[in-house]
Amino acid sequence: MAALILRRLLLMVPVLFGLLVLVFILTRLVPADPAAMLAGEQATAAQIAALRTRLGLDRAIAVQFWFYLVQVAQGDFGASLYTQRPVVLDLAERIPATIELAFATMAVSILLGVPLGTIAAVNRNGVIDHLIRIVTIAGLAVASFWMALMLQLVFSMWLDVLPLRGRIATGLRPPPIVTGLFTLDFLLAGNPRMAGHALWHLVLPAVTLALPATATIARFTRSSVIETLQKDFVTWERSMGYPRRVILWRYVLRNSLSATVTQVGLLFGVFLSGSIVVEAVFGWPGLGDYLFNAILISDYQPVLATTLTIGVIYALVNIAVDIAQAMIDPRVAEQG
Amino acid sequence: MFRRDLLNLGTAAGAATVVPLRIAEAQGGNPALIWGGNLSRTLDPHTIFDVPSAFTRVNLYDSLYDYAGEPPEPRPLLVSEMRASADGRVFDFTLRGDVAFHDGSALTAEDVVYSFRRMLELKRGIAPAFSDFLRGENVSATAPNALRIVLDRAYAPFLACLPMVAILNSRLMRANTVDNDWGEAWLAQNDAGSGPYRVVPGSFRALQALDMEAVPTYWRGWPQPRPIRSVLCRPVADDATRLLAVERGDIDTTHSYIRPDQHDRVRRGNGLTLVEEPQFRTYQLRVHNGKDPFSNLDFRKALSYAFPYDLFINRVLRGTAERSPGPLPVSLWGHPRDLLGYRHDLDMARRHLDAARRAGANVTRELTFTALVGFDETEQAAQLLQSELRRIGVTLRITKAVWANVIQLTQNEETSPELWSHWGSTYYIDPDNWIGTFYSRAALGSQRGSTWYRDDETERLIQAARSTLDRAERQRLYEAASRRLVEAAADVWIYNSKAFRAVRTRIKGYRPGAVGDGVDLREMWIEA
Repeated sequence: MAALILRRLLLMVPVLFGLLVLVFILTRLVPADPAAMLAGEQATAAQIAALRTRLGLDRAIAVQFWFYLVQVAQGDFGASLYTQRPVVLDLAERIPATIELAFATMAVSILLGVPLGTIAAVNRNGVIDHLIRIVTIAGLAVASFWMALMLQLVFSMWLDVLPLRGRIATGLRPPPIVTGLFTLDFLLAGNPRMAGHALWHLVLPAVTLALPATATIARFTRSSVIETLQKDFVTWERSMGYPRRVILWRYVLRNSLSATVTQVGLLFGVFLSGSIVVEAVFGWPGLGDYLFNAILISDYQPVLATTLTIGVIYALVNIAVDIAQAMIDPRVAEQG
Repeated sequence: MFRRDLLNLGTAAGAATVVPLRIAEAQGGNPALIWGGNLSRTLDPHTIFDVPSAFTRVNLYDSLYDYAGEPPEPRPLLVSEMRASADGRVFDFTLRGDVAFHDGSALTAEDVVYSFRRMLELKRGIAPAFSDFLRGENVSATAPNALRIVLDRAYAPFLACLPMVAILNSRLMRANTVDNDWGEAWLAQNDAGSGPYRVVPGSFRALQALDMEAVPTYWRGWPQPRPIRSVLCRPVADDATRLLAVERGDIDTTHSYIRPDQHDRVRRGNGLTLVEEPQFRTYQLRVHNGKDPFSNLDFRKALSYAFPYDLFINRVLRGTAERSPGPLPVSLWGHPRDLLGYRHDLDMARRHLDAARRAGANVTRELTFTALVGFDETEQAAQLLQSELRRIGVTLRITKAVWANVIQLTQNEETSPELWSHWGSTYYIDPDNWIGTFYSRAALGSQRGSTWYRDDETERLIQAARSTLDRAERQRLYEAASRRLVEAAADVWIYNSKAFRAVRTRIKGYRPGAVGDGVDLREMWIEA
């Protein structure tokens, strides 16, 4: 297991370097001039050129990249052109919000997707299977911004049972930061009521993001369970008189989860980078919102740092997925 | 520990289900204004100048002059006396003696000198509006409460530019300066002002949140008996959610870009008012006068006659803008009251198109309109023009580009878009803000100068208007320049903006700011 983890960690290095090179080149290829944006509407060409020189944007791309690499190697992701604030501080504020939402989304999608997929497999081609198929296809087909607005309308405006937006209500003090996850930090601060309040704010964005993921997990689980149900060991267990429930939830499901777990790892990446719309609609101050605003104004350093951060988190989650797979199926660890 | 946390979590979820916390509860019975207008990326008033930054500049800072009246005119604020030399180059200011910064220290001429030099040195935001006629070393203190500003040349809009320059507490700034950065990193998150409100330390998150509290000892006093003591700025990024949030009472105001299709809903909304905010912002199609066939006067006139102004304003914008026939806002002095401009007339467009063709203009080639991504209105204007031009035999292709991309393209005459949509925002309230910064030679290569218009007589009129302090003479010069630009059909001028903001009815005393979101919160109160 240790060898597996070490191998995966080493593989991360070239992957992240490649990502950095790619994103750096792409940001420079985009025909937008951050100096012109920064200089203001009345700035003349000469004033913009002077600012470009001052920011080092007139150097060759290779030279800029080298300076950036040296900077990153020292743990410095630079500062935003606009706020002059170190990007690391911005990321430190936003990463926990995104991770909290991603974990909540993952929990909702797994808790819904795995049972739905299993039930659909057991009732293959039956009424329940068809119903679940309709629901899951709808989950994939509905645009997330539309779903977000519908959920807001129903649960915030009409029923008034869930908050409209934000991590906590306006005017309330955030918890003392320990992990950055508000639910957890409120608990650690001994304030369970506020933890519940923060959890309540997670519901709508997490459900919105989870719906398409739930559909994917349900479909993968269904296929795997159907395949496993046809294996010899299941026939053997049935013939030995094992209760159906035990065969299904204890043996079949465990042997079917490998593909689903891989899918969960891939979906986590989607939760991290694909939540721009959901973060905007729900006023969730995460990485997606940060990246989107930085791209709009060609603020290079936040774009690079955010992309790299998402890459690191994604790679780490996939290592965790590999470990989970090895725990579910020890042959994975042996094969590396 | 883990098990206990899980138990707590379960209990917490249950408790929240039964008793969800409310905003009123959060505020402990002392109502705060929850401002839903946009926020800037930085609180530094010298490095950014946009609509949202006016809100923090006006409420956190004071300036030598501000605007008052209708239409707004510059009036002394920190200044008790001003004397200008006859040639309009030397200005002597005497400062009020009763102004204190938020840390209690007195505002002096040294602070004004520091602020001007910092603004000019950083070369961003508002600096380009000054750097053509003012150098830092020419701003000097002549006494603790007096200063002299010497311009390189006479520049009549100078006083109108002064409200842009926030005066900073120089001692506080120097204490927070690192590596000669003029305190930029610190000021992006904090304030160093003397305005009616101060920043709650640590509350600012770019574009997301800012908390401000009233300064009880503010030198101008508080005109309302129950002024707003606490302001929580919580912008909402998404259009639909913003409206839901103000309807629900989660925010007290929206930003000022409520879409026309949302106006009726706001008017019908319970506890909501739709506030119309007259603006000087102009909207025009920028025409590249340097490229064939746009370099031909008749072709430009054909374009001006082809655009369906009324259809665009009344249908697309649902009547929420005012037709503007020339380069200046219609309610601003300098705009000729009798200027009719162009109307939608395809027969006239055909006639001018034929004349252009006879003169050798390449009217058969495909033209390109660059619409702005994220600004649907620019694409709608392009589509209307495309449809009308097709009727007279001209082909128009619509491309889309992000704002940052367009700005870069406009720096070079070769790459500058042939046609694009441009809102002319208000930096300072003076005709020069539009005619001078759009059509003077110095503007070439900036986004404002993307018309690539070169005309000696217009240049003479602009420079003459800049160099005389005689308002009547300036009025005459700008009227002449306006007529000349319209006759040259340099751009297609369409409308003056009106902004619309949804405000909760519990908010009283709301009055739109003169520039951008520069709302004076001192005038407002919250009805119990």
